[in-house]
Amino acid sequence: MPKFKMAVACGAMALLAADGMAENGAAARGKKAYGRYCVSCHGVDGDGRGYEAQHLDPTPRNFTKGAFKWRTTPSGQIPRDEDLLRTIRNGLYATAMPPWGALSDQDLKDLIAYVKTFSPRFAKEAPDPAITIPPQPPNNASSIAAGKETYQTVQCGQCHGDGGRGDGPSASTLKDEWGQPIKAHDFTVGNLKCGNAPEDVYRVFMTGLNGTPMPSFTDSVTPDEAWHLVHYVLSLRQKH
Amino acid sequence: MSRFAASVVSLLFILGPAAQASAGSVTGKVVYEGKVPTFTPLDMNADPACKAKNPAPVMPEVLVLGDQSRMVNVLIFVVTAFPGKTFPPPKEPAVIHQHGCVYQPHVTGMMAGQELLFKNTDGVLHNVHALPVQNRPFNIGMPPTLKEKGRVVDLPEAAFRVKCDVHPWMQAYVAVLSHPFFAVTGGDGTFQIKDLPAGTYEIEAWHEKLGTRKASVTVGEGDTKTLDFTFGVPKAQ
Repeated sequence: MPKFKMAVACGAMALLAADGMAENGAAARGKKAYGRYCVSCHGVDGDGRGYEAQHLDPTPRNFTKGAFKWRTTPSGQIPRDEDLLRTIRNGLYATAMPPWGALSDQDLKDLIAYVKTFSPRFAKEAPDPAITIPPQPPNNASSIAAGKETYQTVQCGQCHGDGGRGDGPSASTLKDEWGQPIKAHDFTVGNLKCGNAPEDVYRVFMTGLNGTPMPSFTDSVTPDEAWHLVHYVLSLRQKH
Repeated sequence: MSRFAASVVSLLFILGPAAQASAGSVTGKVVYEGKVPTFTPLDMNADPACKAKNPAPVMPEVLVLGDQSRMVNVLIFVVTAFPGKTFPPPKEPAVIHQHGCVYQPHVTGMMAGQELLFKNTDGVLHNVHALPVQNRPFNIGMPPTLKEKGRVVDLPEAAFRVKCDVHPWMQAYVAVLSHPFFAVTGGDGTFQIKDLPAGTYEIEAWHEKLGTRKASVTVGEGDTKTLDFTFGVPKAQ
């Protein structure tokens, strides 16, 4: 009896200790990792103004507003933990953010715990569950044709241009939420920042890119229309 | 009525729920003083559809003056808190139209918990990119097929900006208050705040560029007090 009670007590204490460490220790450990891997771009204050930032376009993320492009949450919301983990693990195409997947899982979790301390939004708000992405219909000529029609009805060309080259009439005046000029994506070349997979593009249409002019179209296109649009946009990519 | 009875009645009005009989109001006008900058008309070349809707030049909305230098689009509101009182938000939404490729109205006051409803009557793509700090920001695409979209704004907040990225000259300002005692000056630069319970209040006038002015006013039962505000640089004496 006493041994069993001891075992239970030790187990409980271990759990409590682990929890306490996770809460109190993660951000502190993350700060050390941040100082080693992240500070030269993202800055000591997490405002994207590290020493390297002056040489980078796009500039490193300013964490202090809690505005992140890559999320599975609706427009305007903070990202979920797994969104932050994915960005750090995989990096972002067409930016200087490299994949940090070589770091241990614990390091990655500690890092996001620290990154979240830069914006008060993470303490105040809880993100919604990830948006549901319905099954993808077949990617064929009729889907692409339907997507082209949606591209025209929704007037994506205003910013992205009729041919998706990022040269629409409004493209030259676009500014991000920090007042810096920002480009509308040229779909014809290169990789898509938030991923080339169809689900990644679908997600961008439906959740928008926080901090940028790209809005969410979840209220104005049906899931099928969004999928056709995904197929059309991906069809614009020239294969080299 | 004897003076005693009158004061008892007044006391009952003050102590009881705000009765209409004791409600006062504040009216006034907002005037611009000083040299008026020369503005160039907005360039709507980015969207021929917008240009077509506006054959006459559209001036920037940063300073809109009516006759006699009266200021349009100034938000007037009571700053003083109302301890122990809560005011339910209206069921009707505060509506902002995207019409002629400008936001109408340019400045909106609304209550916390009220719906903010955007309408697109332009037949062109707009996006509603709201940049509040206390409330959750959002960026909603409104192609011609989406005629209206609303969001409930939960928290009181000083005026925040709403912009359209497709049409960068489009700006609107929205202030969220916890009470209904606010107004926005119209074309004649006047405002009226009604149904104020008797008391002393600090009133603020807010302009998107010229900042704020504050004044104090004491409103008795059934009183109408006048409070004028002036913005701008006074002429040299």
